[in-house]
Amino acid sequence: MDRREFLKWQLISLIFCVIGPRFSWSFPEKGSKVVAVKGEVSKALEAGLKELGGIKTFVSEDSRVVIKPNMSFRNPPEMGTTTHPEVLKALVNLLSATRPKGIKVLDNTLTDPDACLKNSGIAHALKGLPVDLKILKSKADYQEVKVQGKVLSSLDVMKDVLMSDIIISVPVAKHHSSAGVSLSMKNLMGLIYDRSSFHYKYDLHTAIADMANFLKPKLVIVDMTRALTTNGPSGPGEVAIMDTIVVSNDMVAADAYVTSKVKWYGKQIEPFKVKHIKVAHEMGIGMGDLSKVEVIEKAV
Amino acid sequence: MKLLNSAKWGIFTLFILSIWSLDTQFHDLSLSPSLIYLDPIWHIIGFIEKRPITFHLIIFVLIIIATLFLGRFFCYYVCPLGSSLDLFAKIKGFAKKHGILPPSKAKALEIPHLNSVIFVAIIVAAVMGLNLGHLTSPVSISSALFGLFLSPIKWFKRGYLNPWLHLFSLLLPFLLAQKSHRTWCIHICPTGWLLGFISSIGGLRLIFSEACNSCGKCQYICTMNAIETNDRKAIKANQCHLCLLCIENCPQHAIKFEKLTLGEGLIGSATLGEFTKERRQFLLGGLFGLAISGVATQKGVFSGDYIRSIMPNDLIRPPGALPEQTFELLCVRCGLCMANCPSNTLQPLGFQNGVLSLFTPVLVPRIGACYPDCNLCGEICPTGAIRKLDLVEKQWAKVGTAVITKERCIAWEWEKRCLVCDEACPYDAITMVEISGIKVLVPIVVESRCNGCGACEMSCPVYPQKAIQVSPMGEIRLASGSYREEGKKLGFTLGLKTKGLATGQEMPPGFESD
Repeated sequence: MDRREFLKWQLISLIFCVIGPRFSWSFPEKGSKVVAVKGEVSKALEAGLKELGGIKTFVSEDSRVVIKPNMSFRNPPEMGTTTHPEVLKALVNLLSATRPKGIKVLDNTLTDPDACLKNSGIAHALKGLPVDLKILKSKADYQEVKVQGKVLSSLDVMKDVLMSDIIISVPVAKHHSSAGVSLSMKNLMGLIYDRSSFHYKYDLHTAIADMANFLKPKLVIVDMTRALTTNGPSGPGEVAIMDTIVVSNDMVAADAYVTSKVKWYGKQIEPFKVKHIKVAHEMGIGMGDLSKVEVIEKAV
Repeated sequence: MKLLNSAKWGIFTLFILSIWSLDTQFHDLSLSPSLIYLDPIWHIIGFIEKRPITFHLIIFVLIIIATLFLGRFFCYYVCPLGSSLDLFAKIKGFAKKHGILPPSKAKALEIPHLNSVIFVAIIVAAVMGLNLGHLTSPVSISSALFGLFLSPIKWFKRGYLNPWLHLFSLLLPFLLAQKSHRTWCIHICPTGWLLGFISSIGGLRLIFSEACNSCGKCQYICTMNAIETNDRKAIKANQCHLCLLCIENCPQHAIKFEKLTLGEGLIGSATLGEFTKERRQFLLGGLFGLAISGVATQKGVFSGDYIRSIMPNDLIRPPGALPEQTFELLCVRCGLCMANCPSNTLQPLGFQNGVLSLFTPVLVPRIGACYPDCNLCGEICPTGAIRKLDLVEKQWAKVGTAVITKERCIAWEWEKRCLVCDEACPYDAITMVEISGIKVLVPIVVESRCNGCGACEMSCPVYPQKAIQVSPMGEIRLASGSYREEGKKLGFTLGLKTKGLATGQEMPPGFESD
């Protein structure tokens, strides 16, 4: 390589570095698909993923996977405030069959971490499985990143998340008295250090959409085995047994679908009444209009 | 020798493990509440204050009887503070040997024998209704030392407030450990003085045989300054703690045990002379005790009732804490409740409530909430200063009331959608209401449902001063009887959150109404 060639390559790489990040890869996935499968958890999950092309379309041998369940409350699974441990167990079993580089289950819980893990049954269910179950509450585990959002300009995201290849958001279907619903988008707030500023600094809903746009889980699994329809997010409230697992490649579509399926406070509520779903749809993060989403409902 | 030494370190390990197992999954196995009763001084103060007698009395009886016959063995073989001082000296010696620390130039500390003064002062103060024993009780000091200051959980996981205040009280024995690392045990420790006094009455002691050639090696080795070889060869029974180093190291094998009948020791040897010398110190101690308790418990400028009746805003005592005066009297500052608190909300108090409340436990809701499904502080408290409550009683044991500062609240003042306090409250003591002129729902406290647990204050996003804070107002402090009945009498309904029902609004909370 002579000097001229060296300089030429330098110029090319400089141009690439400057222009490259300007391109946005965040346009909505083509063909948003929501699969809702009724039945026994592990079978339903497998059947749902099969409709999306199987777990291997999302996770390969080189992937570092982050699973974000909702385990922020020190309540038993029956109360519907945390993701059911069976769902996580089934998911981890499926994932570990593809032998990814690492599977991490992460959260920044609202209350005492040990009590959350114990009472939600998640620590027990994941015991012995090849996962790294971590609750990170120390600032040192987070790194500030710049985001170009409508209201957010920076976020403190878990370092483990930044180093991962795929985030799988595994929320439980529940009501949230500030955010309307707490589903796959709201669930992602557990990967952020400073959540309270979402409440006091910004409009909560727009902040959720901004954050979801940055984190962008490629796969969403909503635990709709039961849904907390009132008095969310901490409960206790009415719990509707629904025995359904919702799998999707589009978090906005999944959240819209679940919102439309559950009767919140006994009412049928349109997805766009949840402001963060509406904002996310308008920002083009995903497809919130269910008429344009391919919805598959089945039972196993 | 080896067997005895391994027994000593075994007891020490048991003590440390008992305390370090707190706040872990093994906390049920911990012996620590019983271990506090190793210190005879707590039994004596307990008698004076007419505390209920528990089966722990047997520890006291055993130690006193054993001391009568064996001498001050407690200080070497049982006392956790003594063992930690020995360990400290070993570490220091190791560091000096390997050049990590410079070789010692320390001279023996010239301090008077304060132990009898302190002992008498503590007893007199206890009679006057003031608890000073915790300042010098070796077991309290070591349990707070290993439970808070040197606890791996506090260091690496939880942290605690006011550690620098602990520097003075907990580390004093280690700061005094200069030439003889047992300086504190010889000159300060009142428990050690009591045991020394009893053992000078007693039955077994070390004496020199004729083989002794006054080489002075034993005097050099003795950590308790118990050996005199100069003019009068004697081993002071009231200071010897039977570590047996002198026997092991004597080149002439000239030190041996001698049996005495009870009382003979007191009359026969030097101790009687010392006893009369100590009479003056007794009087001095009594005066000290009277003076301190007089100043502390009477109305006056120095933390008398006049000043102390001004309660600090954040003096929130743990659920089941006895009425304040009895609580301070019974609390031995062992720190076990704080070491065992799973949400770390129990923290040692600083000087806010006067010197006399130093290191008593308070709830600090900004660190953690006192969750309704936990009653561990009462379970572990060795003296009953915090009552043992079942979970229902605990939920009724109101520790304070949450107060919203509307000017700070981001829903009231900034019109932001925030319901974090409502979300966090386990007792359903916060309701979100519609107020005309404010665009969002705002929180209000239902005082009769509030337990004061502090979950709201912990979660409130407002900073630096929270918009919702727990204040001790409305706390229920009972010396006996049911909190539930008392609470009902006062018109409270303290219970866990019940299922929320559909409100009369157009849309459920959180959804867009337009």
